[in-house]
Amino acid sequence: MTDARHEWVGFSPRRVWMIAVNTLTESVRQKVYLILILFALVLISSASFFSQFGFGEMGGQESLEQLKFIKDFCLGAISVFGMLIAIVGTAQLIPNELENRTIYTILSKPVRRVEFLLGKYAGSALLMLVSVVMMSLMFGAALKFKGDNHLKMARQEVSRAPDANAAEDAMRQLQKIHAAVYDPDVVKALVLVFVKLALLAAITLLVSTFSTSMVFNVAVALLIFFAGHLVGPAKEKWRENSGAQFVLTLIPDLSVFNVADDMILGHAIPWLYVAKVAMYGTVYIVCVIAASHFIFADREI
Amino acid sequence: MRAILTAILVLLLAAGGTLPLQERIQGQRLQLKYGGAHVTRAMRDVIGQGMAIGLLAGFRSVIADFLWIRGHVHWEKKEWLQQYNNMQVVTMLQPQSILFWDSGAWHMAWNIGYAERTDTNNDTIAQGIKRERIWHERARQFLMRGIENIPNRWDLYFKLGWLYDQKFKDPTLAAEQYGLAARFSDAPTYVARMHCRKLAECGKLSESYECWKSIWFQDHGKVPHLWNIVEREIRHLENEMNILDSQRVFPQQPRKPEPPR
Repeated sequence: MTDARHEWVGFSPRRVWMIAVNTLTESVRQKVYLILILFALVLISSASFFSQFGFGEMGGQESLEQLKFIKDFCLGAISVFGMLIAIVGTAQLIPNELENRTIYTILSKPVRRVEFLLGKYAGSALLMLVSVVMMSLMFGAALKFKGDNHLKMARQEVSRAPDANAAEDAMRQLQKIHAAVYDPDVVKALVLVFVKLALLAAITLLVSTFSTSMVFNVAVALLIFFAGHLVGPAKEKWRENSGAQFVLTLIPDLSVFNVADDMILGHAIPWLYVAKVAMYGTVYIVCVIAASHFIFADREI
Repeated sequence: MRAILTAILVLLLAAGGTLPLQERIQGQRLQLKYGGAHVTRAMRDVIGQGMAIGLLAGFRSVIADFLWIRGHVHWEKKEWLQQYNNMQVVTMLQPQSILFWDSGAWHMAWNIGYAERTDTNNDTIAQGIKRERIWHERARQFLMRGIENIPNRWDLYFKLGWLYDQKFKDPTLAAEQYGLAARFSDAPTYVARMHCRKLAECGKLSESYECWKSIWFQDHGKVPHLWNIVEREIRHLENEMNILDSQRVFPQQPRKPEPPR
């Protein structure tokens, strides 16, 4: 047991970075992670084949339907697998160290608990970053592969148009397909997915600071994930109930990070909105890590 | 115990501190028209438990896409009512998607309507026509709901106009909807031309003439209209309405006006 206030004396970012890199290396070698990321990559790359179920021919409105499906499906897969990697990857960090008794060796060296905790979280966040980047690259490749086929068909439609009206329509379709394939707002949606996953990892780390069971950590983190998506509607429903409002305030509203749906539907995603949501997520992460620090510093190890 | 209380206090501070930011974010979401319908009991019954869980986890669009694909399966099996219910749920999940409103109405008015009319179980031809009209009406109401959800885009006004034009054979209502669609600056140029033509078709010749003239007096260098068609229609109306030569855009004397720059 240590005093949380004295933990910052002689704080070393280098040690934090060392622990982070070590955590990342360990996590990447885990079979669970490899299976999850493999599944995610296979699923994302197969989105272009799934999109052909029931979506007619290429070149017309069906092209937009198929591209919409690929984007929905891939961003959904990134979100689901990212969530699983964030929760499973973070939930085992402290219990594993306790079970293998490596935590005693680490903390007996001149490593402060705060450094250990921050290092573990930074490693987890790096894991999220690597995963999101890998899945995004695969998503980009799948979208470009399918999109280029649709663009080729749409160009043929333009050249084959029988009259000026049809040519104008085909040209518009071509422009819409081009905008759907090369949409810069996808990056904004992915940034917010990453911030959401980083927040989820922080919450899982908080749970694991007072629990010893990995299953418990995963279950609680999953419940918070679901609850976080229901905060918005619940707040609206119980507007008059101040007790419920108070409890709901404690749970971060994860639905604000979901802009992928709106981006796919062609709504503009202003950078200001992205910045506000990212700031909201960051403030929460800092506070959750601080709370984790207070609990972890007081824990009997 | 003190550490746990401190941790709770920090979390309370986080919640309280981010409250104004959260309200601003929600305000901006409303302004930007983000989000979709909330999960209701009726919706949960239609989509099933598994999909409802996915919905609660924030995978609204993926669920909507899978339901849409399921709708195609219903269509192949000629399960029209199931397909109809499916379309209702999909548009409830993603009310901001033009694609779903447009394709859904098209399925109802064209595909299902035709299948109902030519169904061999119909006792009489009239019965087939009656059944087809029910689906035309459903498509109309579907598009109207779509317009209520997306009033700021030209697409669904045009689709409703097209439905009135092609299926209801009502040029007056079609002209009205084409007119609404043509107000949007990003609408294709043919929408404005169709508006003018429908006005003439429903007997509003002077309105149609004004409509064609308003197109003609646009900047020919900037707006990519089919100017030969616009000229032909104006000439035709000027002759039909016996417009005085001095008031014509294209006087009968060999004097062709310069297109405005």
